[in-house]
Amino acid sequence: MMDKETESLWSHVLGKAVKGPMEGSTLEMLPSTQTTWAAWSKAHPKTKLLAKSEAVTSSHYQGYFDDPEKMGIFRARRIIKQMPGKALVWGVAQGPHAAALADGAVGASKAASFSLGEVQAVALQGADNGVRAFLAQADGHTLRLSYTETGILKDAATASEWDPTTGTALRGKQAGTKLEELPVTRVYWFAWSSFYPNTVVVE
Amino acid sequence: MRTLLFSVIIAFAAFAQAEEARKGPPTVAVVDGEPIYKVIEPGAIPAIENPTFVTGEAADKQMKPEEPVMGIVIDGEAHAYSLWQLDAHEIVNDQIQGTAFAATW
Repeated sequence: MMDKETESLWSHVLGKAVKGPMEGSTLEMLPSTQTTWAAWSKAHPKTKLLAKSEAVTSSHYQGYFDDPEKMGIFRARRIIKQMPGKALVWGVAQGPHAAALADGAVGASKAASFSLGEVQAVALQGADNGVRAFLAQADGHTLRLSYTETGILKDAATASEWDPTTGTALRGKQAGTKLEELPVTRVYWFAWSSFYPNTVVVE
Repeated sequence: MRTLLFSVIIAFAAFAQAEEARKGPPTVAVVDGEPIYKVIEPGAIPAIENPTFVTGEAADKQMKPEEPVMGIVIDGEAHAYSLWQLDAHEIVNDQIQGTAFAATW
C-alpha cells in the first residue's frame, strides 16, 4: 500500500510503513471479520453496504485455486508445510506472538482457546458467522469459555453467559463485562506463516 | 551481410529479453533482506476515496446471498464491503463517526 501524502510504502499485513518518510510507523489495526452478505445483513440489519457503481457478480480470482503450488506473484520462498499454502486461516497476532486458526477450529458451538505467549485468548464465531478473537481475561483472571450442550457460551468459573459476536457477558456474575477484541486477519497460510514463522496453529 | 546483421539484431533482442526476465521487475525497497518489487504503477488499482453506501433493499439488490464481505462495527455502526468489488480496488478509505480507517483487502 502507499499513502498519497508521503508516498511511503506500507505492509497491509503488518500495518507498518516499510519505506519512505513514514518508515517505522504502525497503524492501529481494528477488529473486523469476514462472512457472507446473507449472514452479515441478517445479523446487522441496519448495515451500510459500500455501493457498487457497476454490477460486480463474481470474483476476479476464481482461477486462483487452479494451481495449488503457485503462491503469490513471485511464489513464496519460505513455506511451512503444516497446511496447504492456500488454506485460508484466521490469523491473530500480538507482539511477537501469533496464532493461525484453521477452518474447523471455530464453529457455531465450538470456541477455540489458544495462547499468544503468556496470554490466553479465545476465538468465537458470531451471529453473523464471522470469526472474532478476544483476550480471555476479566478482572485479572483467565476465563475458560466453552459452549454448553444447549449451545450457550459460558465461562467455567462463574457460568456467566457470553455473546460470541461482541465478547460481552449478557447474564451472570460477569454481566456487562466486555472482553478486549483482538483483530483477526483472514489470510492464506503461506502468507501468514511467512510473516509469522513462529505462529502456532489451532486446528 | 544484411542477413547476418538481421540475425545479430534478433540475437541481441533475445538476449535483452532474457536479461530483463532474469533481472525481474525493479526493486523499490529491501525489507528484512527481502526485495519488494514494483509490478504496476501506483494508482493502477484505484483505491476508493469517497465511499458511498446503500442500505436495506437497495443493498440486497446489489448483492448475492453467498457473496463474501468484510464487515466492521464501530460504535454500533456496521459497514460491509463486497470482496468481489474490492478485488478491483483493494482499499477503501472510510470513516465511522470520526474514526478514519482504511479497509484493506
